[in-house]
Amino acid sequence: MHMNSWLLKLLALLMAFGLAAAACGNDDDGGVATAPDEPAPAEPAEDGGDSPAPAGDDAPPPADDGDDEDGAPAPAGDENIAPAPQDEMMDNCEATVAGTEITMGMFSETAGLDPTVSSGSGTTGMIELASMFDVLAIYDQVNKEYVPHLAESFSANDDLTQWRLTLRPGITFPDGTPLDTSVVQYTMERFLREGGRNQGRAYVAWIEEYEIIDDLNMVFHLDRPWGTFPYALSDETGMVVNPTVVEAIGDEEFNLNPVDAGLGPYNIARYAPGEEIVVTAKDDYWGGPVCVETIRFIRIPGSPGTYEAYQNDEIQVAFLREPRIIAEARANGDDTNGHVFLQNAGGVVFINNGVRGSTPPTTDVRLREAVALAVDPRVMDERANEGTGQPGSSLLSPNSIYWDDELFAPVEPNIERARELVQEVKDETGWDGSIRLACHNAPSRIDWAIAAEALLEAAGFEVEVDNDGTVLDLIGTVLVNADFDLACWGFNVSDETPFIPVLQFRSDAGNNRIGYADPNMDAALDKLQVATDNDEIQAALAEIWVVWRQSWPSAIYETIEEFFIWKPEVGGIVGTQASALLFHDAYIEQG
Amino acid sequence: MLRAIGLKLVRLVPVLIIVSLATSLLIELVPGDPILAIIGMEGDAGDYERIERELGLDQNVFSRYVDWLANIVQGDFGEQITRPGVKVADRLRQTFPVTMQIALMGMVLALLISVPAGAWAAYRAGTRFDRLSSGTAFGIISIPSFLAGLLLVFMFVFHSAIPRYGVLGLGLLWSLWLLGSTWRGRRDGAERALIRVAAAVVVAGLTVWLANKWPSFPRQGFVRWTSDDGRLENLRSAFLPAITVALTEIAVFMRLLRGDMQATLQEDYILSARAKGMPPVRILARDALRPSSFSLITLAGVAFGRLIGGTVIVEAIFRLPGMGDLIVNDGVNTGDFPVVQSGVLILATFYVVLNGAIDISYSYLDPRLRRAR
Repeated sequence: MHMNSWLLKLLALLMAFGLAAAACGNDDDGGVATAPDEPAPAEPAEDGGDSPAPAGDDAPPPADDGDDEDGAPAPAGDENIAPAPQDEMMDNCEATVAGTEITMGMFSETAGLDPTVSSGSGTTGMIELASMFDVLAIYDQVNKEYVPHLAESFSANDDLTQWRLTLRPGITFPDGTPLDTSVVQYTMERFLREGGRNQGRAYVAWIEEYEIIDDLNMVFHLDRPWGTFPYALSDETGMVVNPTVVEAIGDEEFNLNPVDAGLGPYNIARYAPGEEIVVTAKDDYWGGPVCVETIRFIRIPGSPGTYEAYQNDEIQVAFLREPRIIAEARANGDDTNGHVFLQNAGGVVFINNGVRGSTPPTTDVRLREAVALAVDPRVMDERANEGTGQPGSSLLSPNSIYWDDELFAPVEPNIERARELVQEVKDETGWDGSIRLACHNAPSRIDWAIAAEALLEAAGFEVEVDNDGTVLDLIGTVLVNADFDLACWGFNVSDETPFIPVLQFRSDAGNNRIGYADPNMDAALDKLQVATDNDEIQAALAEIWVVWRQSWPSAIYETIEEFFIWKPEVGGIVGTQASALLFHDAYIEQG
Repeated sequence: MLRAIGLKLVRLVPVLIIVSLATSLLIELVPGDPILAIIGMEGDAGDYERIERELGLDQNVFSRYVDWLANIVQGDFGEQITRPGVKVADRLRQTFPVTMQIALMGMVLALLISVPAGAWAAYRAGTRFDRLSSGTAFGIISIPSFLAGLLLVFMFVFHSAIPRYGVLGLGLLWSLWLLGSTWRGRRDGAERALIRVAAAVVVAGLTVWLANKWPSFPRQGFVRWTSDDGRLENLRSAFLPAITVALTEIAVFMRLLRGDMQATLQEDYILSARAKGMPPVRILARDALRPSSFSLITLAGVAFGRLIGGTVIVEAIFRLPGMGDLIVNDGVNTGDFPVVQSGVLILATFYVVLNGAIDISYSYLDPRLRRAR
């Protein structure tokens, strides 16, 4: 009898376990999304992605042409006029599933929801913030130019030192505060406040004066000419904030809970640092109906985990940055919907040219050239990325919109010549060949350092590698202490904004981290600074590349891809600049 | 009793002061600088100096510690350096329940599996069951938790057919074994045969049903107990992390209990109970388990305390917003010392209180200790 009761108890216990386990599940067959059986390798998109066209052709009438009644200077030049804010198809979200949710796996987490606090770019917060605040301008990835968004138009005077901005009329924040020029000025000036951390403060400081013409028209007076000023309107600095809300709740609370503080299609619903940012659609977005009800932004450490979550249908949009995983996604055919942002010169051997009075051996241009000739991009890629990266020793990737075979011919690795140069310096100066190489302890960077060490030693350098620390230690070594000869780094020259990253090569730049100074480079940078269209930008970049190959500020070995993919049923996501996506036209297709 | 509790609470204070001071010194020694985390790769030396000045981070470690301690005494855990305006207390409130749930579920799963298995292995020492359970335990102990987590993801998330049909196969085999035992024990009586057949049918039915309703598990993320998605979603998101945590503990608990209980089963009063014809389950559960559980309870307490602060690997694998993730990623890696110090303080408090509670529980387990007091 006792045995019988024991058996019954055991069976009851088992049944309870079974019921509990089953209750945890759902009613489907537990199927898991898997990769297609026959992977189809895909080539990188030449135009940098295949995002849908951002808008239709039914543009509103152009704004005032600047012939001001109040006597304000009338900026000249071509005027960029805003296209219609929303795709016609999406006017009423007809073809979409209403009340839907998108979860996006991010690369890293923002430090907060205040545009002046978030460190910037799509890698760190810009996508989340753009969904809440919107931007004055966006980079049109189809036509490869900046176009107005919250703004109605912008145009420059002849010498590009004054930019006139006209805002769309009738746009208001959820509390009724109108979008006007004083709000834009307030937004930009906040970047200079104490506690501001966004790098936009550097170029906001170039604005000498905000000339308010009326509620919708203003002129930015710059302390220097800038041909691609609309970049500042499309970055965090162009995310207009509601002064009423900021003043009412204070900077700290605004950083955590900016409800009703933006003009974006979404409002903050939940911000749990370290966990998620949830935004919900506004029903009165100025650009029309918002079709996806909720977007959850979560950070999944590393591209492998992010891609696994994507494969398991836990996220619908994924941000991948690891070459091996990007290659896997391409092989699985998961790149049919998405967008690729190129970071040209994303992988470089940073060379100390004598920053802050230091005298490393690499102040000798021959050694800098030797480093550039010794570093073979393909070897580095094989070692660090298993051959899945985008090796290249030119300033630009062949996939860049500015690419030209002749203008941007890559540096051909030449170990013999590198050895000659190293020997020449040794014979001349008595230098023993020793050189320090700083990197960090991420697994791929350890492999990178091994490859770099081998290549440099083959050229006659005696390399002392320091890669024990974290990436923060490397930042301290390079940026704060300037205590390095060579370092693993990246310039990230994007097609949308080549000017800002290369500005560090100007001899008088505050952020010149390598101590590089060459008047020819300064002259070439001046041309890039005033370049307004893509032909002018290409010509200026080509000149920079010519100077580069004479003075060798650093050695380029790789282009980085910032790779966004989304599920086939998701559409309407728009890529802008700085690896950021905009969700105002996003939708999920029915069926 | 109250005096004992009071004494333990008093002893808590110096322990926490020593722990927090040691943490403060250690965080100073390890790499990590919150200002570097703030400026990132786009900053420069000027930015570094500006932010250092703005945040008042140019104080020495002892000044910082005294300031922090003074705030703690007033109940203020301070703010995160790397996230302006984010209160450390809010982060702790947000992360502690996640880790607590995973640790608690892991411990409950570990005890539910290890106690019956360990007790039965002790009772049937030297038999096939004992050898099989011991071998399995040694195998599980040798798998580190990060590997166990990834294996569980591989099987339960991406190849769910493996555990699904594995359970189905085992269940059906068990059912067949029960039917076979009915035939082998056909002389035991009709009632017993009927129970065995019924059990075989129940086991077969249950496993087929379970295989049919096999739940899908998420690769990452955590649904909170209080979420609108419901309790079942919470359990579903916590299941794989909890199993990962439980696996190592199961093996250790099982081996420990088996050894202790084997010794207890040699006691005269157990032999006497057996001689009286008491059923084995009653002997194991009522007579042998309590005196055999001292080591198990001590170890379980220590393990539970350890899990609260030591699930960082599991949290990383499954992207759980827990204490380990907070202290390591938001604290140690970026040198955000208010996060590290406050997090460690909470863990140390929990750990010391838990062990004090275990000490007190001994007197309930062994009347001799109660009388001695």
